[in-house]
Amino acid sequence: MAVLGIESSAHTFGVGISENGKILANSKRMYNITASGMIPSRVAEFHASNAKGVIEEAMASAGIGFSEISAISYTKGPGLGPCLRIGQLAALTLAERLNVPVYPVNHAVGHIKITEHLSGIKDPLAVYVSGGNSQILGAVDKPFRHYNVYGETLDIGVGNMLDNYARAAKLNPAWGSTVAKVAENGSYVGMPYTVKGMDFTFTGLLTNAIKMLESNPVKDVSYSIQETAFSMIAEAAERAMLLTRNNGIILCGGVAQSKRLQEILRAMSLSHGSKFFVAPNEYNADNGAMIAYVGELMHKGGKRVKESELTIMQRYRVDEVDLSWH
Amino acid sequence: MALKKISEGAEADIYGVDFFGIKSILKYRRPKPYLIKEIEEPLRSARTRSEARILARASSITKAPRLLFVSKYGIIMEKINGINASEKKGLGLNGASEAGDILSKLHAANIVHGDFTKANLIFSNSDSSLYVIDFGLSYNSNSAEDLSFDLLLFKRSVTRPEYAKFEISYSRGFKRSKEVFQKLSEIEKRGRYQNRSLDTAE
Repeated sequence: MAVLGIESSAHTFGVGISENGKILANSKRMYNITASGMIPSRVAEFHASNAKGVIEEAMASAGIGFSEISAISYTKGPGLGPCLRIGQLAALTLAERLNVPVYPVNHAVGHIKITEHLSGIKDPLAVYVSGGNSQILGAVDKPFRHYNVYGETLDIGVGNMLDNYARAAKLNPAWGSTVAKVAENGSYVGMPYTVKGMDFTFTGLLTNAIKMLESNPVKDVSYSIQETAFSMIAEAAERAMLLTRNNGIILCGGVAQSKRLQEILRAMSLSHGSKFFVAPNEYNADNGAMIAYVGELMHKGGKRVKESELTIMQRYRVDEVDLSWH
Repeated sequence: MALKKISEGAEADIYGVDFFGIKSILKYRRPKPYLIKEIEEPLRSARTRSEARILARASSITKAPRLLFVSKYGIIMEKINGINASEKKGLGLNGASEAGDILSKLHAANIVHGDFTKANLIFSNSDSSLYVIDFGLSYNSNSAEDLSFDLLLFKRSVTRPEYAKFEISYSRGFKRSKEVFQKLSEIEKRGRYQNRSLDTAE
């Protein structure tokens, strides 16, 4: 029996299917972000018109019939309201038709859990980096089992910062991955570096980088902003690792696709003899498989969900999630 | 000078040294092999310099180790022999009161400690009073928000009765304490700190 999971928190509509922790399908379609960025209602329209197609695609690639689906899960949050709503509606509709239970999943928990699962490391320290989030977390048992946030950005997420910078530098497309490309042959120019214990801030860095574009080559500023941001995350992660005495690190979330960030964190882990793992990119980008996987854990763990919990929550903090079903 | 590594901190190694007859601590900021030289060298030397400066001021106004010597990445300071407040015996009510007194003096001098937890408080064997150590994350600021982070961290690391005692002596020693308490409760209401405050502390 398999669990089908639906992800729709931002520009990706994804459907995954998990059976005994094995990912049978991970289908997705992405809304094409133009220079104007994401207009939530447009993205929601895109999701609505693609929902049926992506679900069918996932079923076909898993090679199973709907009779073999034993539960449905969907992303409850955090994310953009109109987008989340489409995934929730699709999940509820499908579950009613199949007469199976529905599980609401926290997006960040999805990223962390699937990476943890693929890594084979037990209770690792997780570095979760995406557009809106940048956090260092680990599972703790008190006062209930949850991911404790050891450190995090005090302002904006690292992904959004790089996107904003890319827009200011007139890079096309205005994404972090374009910054990485431009940065390849750059050299370092001074940037503000702000780590407060295990927390960090990015707005000062962003403002400074945009200002430096006036008098420095784009490749140098791109190299420096990226290098500084990733260094700050790695240093905060190092501190968390040493304080918690955890010797396994996993990297997850959209920005985890960055080769340079992977390299820095791997080097940091190795310098302490720790394990390091990052999942293949299809799991770092938003995807349905992680939602299906967590849905399966909840289903098998006997998690009871009240009807009133089957909502969406635009600001759904990862440390609010009770992991006792795990 | 004989070197003996006592412990490894998050960014520095601690050695026990004999500095012209004074039992001392050498705090050496390790290289960070995962960062590019252009970032890590200025970072290490700036942090070393800043820590030394703040330590020198702190020890002149409250119970903190005396600064003895500074190099590019290393600081030699007086060793405080005693029992760490994070050990079994704990901080206790009297200790909490002393902690409030220490922090009020640092804050009155615009010093934010940056890591003001039980683990950085030691009951000295020599004069049986409480000392604050590790100014590795300290910086100068008089903003109530910055100062309130010291209280937030401390609050998370102690029991409720200890914190209550701390509050009394802190407000006695620092005339802007009301402003800082106000900021603290604002910060605690912000979403991202709700689950990271007192109730999750052991």
